[in-house]
Amino acid sequence: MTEPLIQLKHVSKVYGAAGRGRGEAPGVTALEKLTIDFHAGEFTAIAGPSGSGKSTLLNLIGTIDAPTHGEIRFQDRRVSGLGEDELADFRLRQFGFVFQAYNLIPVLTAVENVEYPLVLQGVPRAERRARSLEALKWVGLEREGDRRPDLLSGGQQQRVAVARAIVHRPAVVLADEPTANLDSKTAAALLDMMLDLNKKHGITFLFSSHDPVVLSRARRVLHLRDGKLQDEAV
Amino acid sequence: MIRLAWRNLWRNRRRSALTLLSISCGLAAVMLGQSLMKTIQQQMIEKSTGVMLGHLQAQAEGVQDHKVPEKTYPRPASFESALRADSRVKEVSARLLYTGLISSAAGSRGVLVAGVEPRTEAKVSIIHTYLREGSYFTGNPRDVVIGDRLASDLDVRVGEKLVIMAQGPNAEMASELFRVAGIYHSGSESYDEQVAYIPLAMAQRLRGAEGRISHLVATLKDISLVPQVRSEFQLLARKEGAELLGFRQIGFEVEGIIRFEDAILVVVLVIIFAIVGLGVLNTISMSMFERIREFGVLRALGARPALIVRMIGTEAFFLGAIGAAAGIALGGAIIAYWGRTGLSLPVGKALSYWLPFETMVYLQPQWRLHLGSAAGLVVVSLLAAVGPAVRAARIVVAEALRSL
Repeated sequence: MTEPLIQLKHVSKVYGAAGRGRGEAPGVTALEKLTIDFHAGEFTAIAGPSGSGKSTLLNLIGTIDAPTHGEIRFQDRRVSGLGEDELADFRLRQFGFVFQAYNLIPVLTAVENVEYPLVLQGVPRAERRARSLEALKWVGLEREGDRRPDLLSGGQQQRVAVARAIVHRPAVVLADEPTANLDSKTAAALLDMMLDLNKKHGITFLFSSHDPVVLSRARRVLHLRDGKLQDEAV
Repeated sequence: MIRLAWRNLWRNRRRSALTLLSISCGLAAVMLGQSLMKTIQQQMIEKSTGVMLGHLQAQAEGVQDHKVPEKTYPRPASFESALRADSRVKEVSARLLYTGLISSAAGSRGVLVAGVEPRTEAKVSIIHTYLREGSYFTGNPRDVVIGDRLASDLDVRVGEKLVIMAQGPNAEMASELFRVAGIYHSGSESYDEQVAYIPLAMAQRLRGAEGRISHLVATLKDISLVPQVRSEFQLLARKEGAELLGFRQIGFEVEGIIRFEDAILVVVLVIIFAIVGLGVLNTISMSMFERIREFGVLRALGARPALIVRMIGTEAFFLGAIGAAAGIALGGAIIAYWGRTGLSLPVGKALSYWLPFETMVYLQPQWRLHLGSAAGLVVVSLLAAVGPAVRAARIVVAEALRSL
């Protein structure tokens, strides 16, 4: 067995815990003592009903939120406790994000949105344009590069978001409910595309969903309930 | 980042356009105020130095009233020669001023008797340019040049006789007969009604002050050299019992008005800057609150907090710079228009009692001040963005992503 890419050790997240004084309501526990390992190349779904802690878990893994207790390690390096700039650089190198609401920058075209992580990495203009167009090709949108998000359908916007998430060759793509706003046909197509990228290019995908059809495509499914790991299916 | 900041600026076109309008109108108003004040100040300096003060005056040491010093002193020959020989000096002319009584068959009036050297006086004073009738001295030692109001009061015309009476050195009264050589209209009540110009030699004889003067007036080729020339020649003037003064020391009223106007300009500038700053703060703050989720996305993708600060700062810079450029164009156009057609202002009438002053002000641009104000507005825009930018940079990414 290879070393895990990401390790969560007794990770808890309590909202409203900081600064809580005597007599105030206790914080809301979103995750409780989770210990999970993720390996490179996984295509893993985090399942569970609304409020079960799926998004919180992805946020903690993606370092856009910090655990209240426990430790998160990435390639055996402790990431909890890094400074804001170090965390930003770390995310830029290691993660790609796909959000439920697509979250494309509305004033940028599709290809400019895809380019953005490469801009942050300081990749030269010509190279980043070529790589962005290639990423758009991978998601089947090479002809839509000059369109702004408001001229794309929901499914197209989410595919642009996937292209943006993979363009800089991150170690892991974190997708929070990526199909929640899509119709079933488009959702299935998006899942197929993500699975294809996982198989062909070895990109690790961790995504959350509560849709059984989506979950059926995952090679590993972690079920969360009330912030706890209920069971795991492989 | 620059492209993103530029496009962000135009997301809400109406809001950005209104902010740009407020910046440009504010700057145009500041420019108009600067141009108006400075044009009036320049006119005041030109008129006050032109009609009486000159750029530099040598007076007897210890004079209290620099306007009409009762003290006379021997004409300082060495100092005068040195001054004339200096390449920065345009002209030098001597005067003897005192109060006297001027009479005609129709009546008498108290006047300031100004003994002048006509040839050189015409180069240090602009009174001759206001001549309406007759000549600015004919060479006759008994010529007198007076204003039209005085001529009307005394009911005299060119060629008619007048008597000037003044106190001699031993308190006895002396009088001389003069003939009106010319009548001028400067527009200033005090000059047109209360001054009589006669040749210096006759003024000295009437006063019993042969060889003595009250002022040695000099004009320079460049008025900005006054402090430098004054400082260089002061010692030489003192050796001959004189004190060299610049027009700002003598015309302290003008100096006071200029300072007062400059203070008003500063107050107006501060008010406009505050209004513009609040406008930019409002625009940037609104824009920031609308984009909290986007900032969260950018931070999640790997943007450092400093990049968010730079992006918002760039947006504020664009707002300030475009507004300032539009303001310069608008203000410049207004100033150019009123510079060509003139702006009729009652200020001319208010000042004309003691100075000849045009009621029509032809505005002149003050580019150094205008560009300074424009740069100030850009800085104010940047400062207004500091708060929102820092707040945007400090967002909690996960919370920002949850915001609507």
